[in-house]
Amino acid sequence: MSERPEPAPVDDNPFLPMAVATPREFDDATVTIVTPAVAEAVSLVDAFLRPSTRSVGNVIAIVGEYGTGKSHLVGTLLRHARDTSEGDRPRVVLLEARPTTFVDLYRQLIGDELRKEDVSDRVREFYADVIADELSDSPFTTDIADLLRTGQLDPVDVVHRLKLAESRCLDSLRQVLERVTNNAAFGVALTLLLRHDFADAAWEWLTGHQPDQVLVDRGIDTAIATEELALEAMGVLALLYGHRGRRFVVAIDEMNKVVSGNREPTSRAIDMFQRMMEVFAAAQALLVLAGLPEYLDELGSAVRQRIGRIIAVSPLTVENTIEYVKRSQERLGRGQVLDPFTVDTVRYLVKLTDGNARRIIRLCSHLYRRAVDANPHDPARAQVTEAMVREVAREHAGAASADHVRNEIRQVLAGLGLTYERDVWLNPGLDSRADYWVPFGSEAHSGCALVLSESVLDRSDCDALVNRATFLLAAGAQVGVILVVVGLVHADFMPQLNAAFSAEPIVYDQYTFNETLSAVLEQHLGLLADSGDDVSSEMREQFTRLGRQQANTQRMLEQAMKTLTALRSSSDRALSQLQQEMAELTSQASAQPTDQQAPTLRLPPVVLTQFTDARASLDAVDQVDAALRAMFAATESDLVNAVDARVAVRAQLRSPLVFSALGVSTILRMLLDTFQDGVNEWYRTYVPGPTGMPYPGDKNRLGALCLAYDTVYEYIPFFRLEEIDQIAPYLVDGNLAVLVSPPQLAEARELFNGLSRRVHAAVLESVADWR
Amino acid sequence: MNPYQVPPAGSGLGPLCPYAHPEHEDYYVPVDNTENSFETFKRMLGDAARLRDDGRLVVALGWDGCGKTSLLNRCAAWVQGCLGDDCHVVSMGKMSRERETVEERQRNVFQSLIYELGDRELLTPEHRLEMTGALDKHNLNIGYYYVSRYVLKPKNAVLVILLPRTEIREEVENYARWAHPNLVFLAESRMSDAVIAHWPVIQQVHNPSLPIRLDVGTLTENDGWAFVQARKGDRTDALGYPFVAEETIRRVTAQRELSIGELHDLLHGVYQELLENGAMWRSRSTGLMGEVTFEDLLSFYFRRLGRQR
Repeated sequence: MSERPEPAPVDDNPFLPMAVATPREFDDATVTIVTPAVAEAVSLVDAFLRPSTRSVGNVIAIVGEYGTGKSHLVGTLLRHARDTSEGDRPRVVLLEARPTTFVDLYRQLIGDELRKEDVSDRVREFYADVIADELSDSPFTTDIADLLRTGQLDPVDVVHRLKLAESRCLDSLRQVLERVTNNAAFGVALTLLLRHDFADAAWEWLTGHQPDQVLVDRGIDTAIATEELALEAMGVLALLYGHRGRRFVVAIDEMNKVVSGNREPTSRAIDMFQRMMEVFAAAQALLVLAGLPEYLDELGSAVRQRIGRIIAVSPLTVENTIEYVKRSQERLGRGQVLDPFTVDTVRYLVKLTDGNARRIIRLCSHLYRRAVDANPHDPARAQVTEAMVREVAREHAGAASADHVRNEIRQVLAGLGLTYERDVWLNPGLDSRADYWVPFGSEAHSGCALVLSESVLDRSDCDALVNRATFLLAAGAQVGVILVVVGLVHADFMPQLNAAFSAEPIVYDQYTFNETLSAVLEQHLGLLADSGDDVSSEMREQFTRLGRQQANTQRMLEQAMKTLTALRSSSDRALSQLQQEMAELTSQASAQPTDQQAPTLRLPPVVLTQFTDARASLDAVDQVDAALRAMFAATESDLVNAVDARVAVRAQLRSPLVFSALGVSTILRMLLDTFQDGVNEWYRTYVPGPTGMPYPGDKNRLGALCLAYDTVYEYIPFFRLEEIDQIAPYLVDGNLAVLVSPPQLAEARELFNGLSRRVHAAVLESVADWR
Repeated sequence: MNPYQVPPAGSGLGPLCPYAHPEHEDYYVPVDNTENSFETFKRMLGDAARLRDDGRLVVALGWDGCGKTSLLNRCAAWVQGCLGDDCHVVSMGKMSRERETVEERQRNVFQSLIYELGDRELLTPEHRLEMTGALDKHNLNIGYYYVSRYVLKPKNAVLVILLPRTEIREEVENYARWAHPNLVFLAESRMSDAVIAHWPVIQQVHNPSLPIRLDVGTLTENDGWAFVQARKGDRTDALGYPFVAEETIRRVTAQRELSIGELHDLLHGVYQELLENGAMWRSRSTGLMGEVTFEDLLSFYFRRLGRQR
């Protein structure tokens, strides 16, 4: 008898590895700890749903930092509202504000949450009331009116079957809707929803599209495509759904993505937001806004004053966390047990995560698995220790590879249009390495340094970072230093890091990192820019700098000796890594023609064009070769003009920076060639899988090629090409020198920035076409 | 027999159309202000022969079922009666749908007109070419002018065009602009308020004569009973159908806006059902036909809604 494999064990880990329960995913199994914020929010919802408070609409604002459980609280509220008794069950809508605008939010509301039939049904209710009003006074039709009001008859059907004057009924409806919504266009469009031939056109317009000509004919000529119109439209829907005393609950999660420093709303939009809140109140609807605290600032005081309650989500306490662990285990039928955790390990965990719910849950998941794996034969003896917490925190807390984070940093910098250099020592001989150096302003060493670090769990981690910050800040008068931690920061070290760096450390979070880093960089570089503008601010900055330098110097002296060794090993490691990556690529490129002599393989056009486009863009920027050739050509044709040509070229090559730019151009060409060779080689060895899809191994190889390109590319100071983008060949035309090609640096940058991503997609597309 | 049936048999409830069915002239009942409107039309138009000098736009306004189409059909028949064979009446009522844009609707009407006039052998190949050219160039003003000047005028003919129902006031305005000599546009709209508000503009773009607006209302207090009487539904000695009492009709029409179309539909439906069910009866004692009561009408209404009362 053949041996059968044991069935895979059921995953009994009570903690969610991703630690992100979106409000949509809430179910009976979702564990919610009744923190003061949860209790308060639930009581507010209860008050809102209570019949005695039916005349009052409300706005609740939920604020809290990343990972503190705002979304969880929103989910709790919505579920609580949905679970009310059937008769009073409110219509509950969740809008998740990805980086977005009010327009997108509105489209999410009406496109995703509220469907056409749903909205039509609300309009139908208004229509039923309109018809009922018309029929109720006549003894002949009063019974029909009653049936309409109680929803037992469909008004459209009644009008059709009884041959009532449909146009008069619909016009009455239009007037009612116009009065309710205070908007003529909505009166028309919502009414048209009930007319079969017009319903699609009306719905299209309601969902944000340009109005169809049949709507334009009826006076609707503007799409709901501005912040103001979108907010007004949201208010209209609240009024529609508040009809017949219905409860309407709308929650907007991550409001900070709609209104933030990066995405400052117009004053008109703020006014309309305020108006929308008033409309919600009038419609007896509940509006729940959740997000980072700054969204309230962006909305302004007038809006804040209209918010009934602001609930701050606080970090989890040790007691909260213990309850969470116990209830999570109880959910799996184990009873309310804390094992394999202890009160001490929970306390340590809370300290390490600063009570951040998301991080606590994520670590709990990893720790539980680690503890059980350590005692596979006797899970009951599994224990989570403080050492294990530290170990797991280092391994998993970041939950992202350094390469991935670097890629995101590169995207942010490119997005802001900033140039940068990798691994720059601002203060030679000391540990003043900036993982990314973003030069800014005219002074030497003026700019912003980004320092990347893994988890900061003990004193030595903290000291090393404080040293780096100190040395970096000492390197120049106008230097900002920002710490990015891919992992956790023990709460005890936060004050020191705050003091040493120019901003509060950014603890990497995949959902928020890009936006946070952008905002911090913008703020710092904005400060640097402002500081150069007027004399008084410059003096103020001078004093600030002097004070800061003094403090830096003091710290520098204290730490210099301790960190010398670490400095050397760190720099050596970084250099050797770069050299190794470059060497691998170069050897691959040089080995190919001699050793393998593989037959040439033409890349599929969709892939080849990625490389040729990039190469052409570089040619357009670096025209030194063409300029030299033009110069020699002139020499052969006309000796007089040849003098002008020589002078022109010499003038262009006068700056020494041109030569470093040429170096950058050369390495870019090499990188491009070797990357293309690598892709060529990938095709040569590629074997389609049985389904026609690439085997995982081939996909991995392709991913590795792209990553290699990215890794090297990010070290190349592309911005130096600016020095040669003005150099162009001069054609000699009589006595006139003519500029042949305009500079195209921006286009080249864009092509090189996204090259690996596009190549990756193009390769997969090409093999998909082979199927 | 069903006293509310409009001949010819089978057409049932459709609007009266005396230019196609001369016997319909006898079925008009002075309700809904339609009689006044018809008199207004005749008075304002005056001598129909003047249509050869000035075209006209006539617009009937009122909710569904109030009798706009019947009124306009009567107006068309009257013009035809005045001018004889020189008058051509074409109905475009079904030549476009409300879902279409104003431009599409207008183009459909003009395209249909080319076919219709062609069928009546009023167009030469050159006419057809010119009219199609105007259509292609989206210039219907020129198109209608061409029809007026080069198709109708040489024949001393007048063309009465019954237009599809419209909701858009700009569409009415356009036809006012295109009402060239020899052309009469008969338009109808349910959007009375919008058209009335736009009326000064419509008057302004119309040719020197004034466009004619006919307002058709809902039933007044006595209109319902007047209609029943006109159809002889009140006769207790009628052969083959029961009667309905005045009180019953007044209860049905009381305290709500009712159109003649709705009342006609109700009574026609009730009688049709009675006929089909063989439920017409005659009292043995009096020899009179039975009565359709308020309850009968009410039950019929509920049955139409798929419910039992």
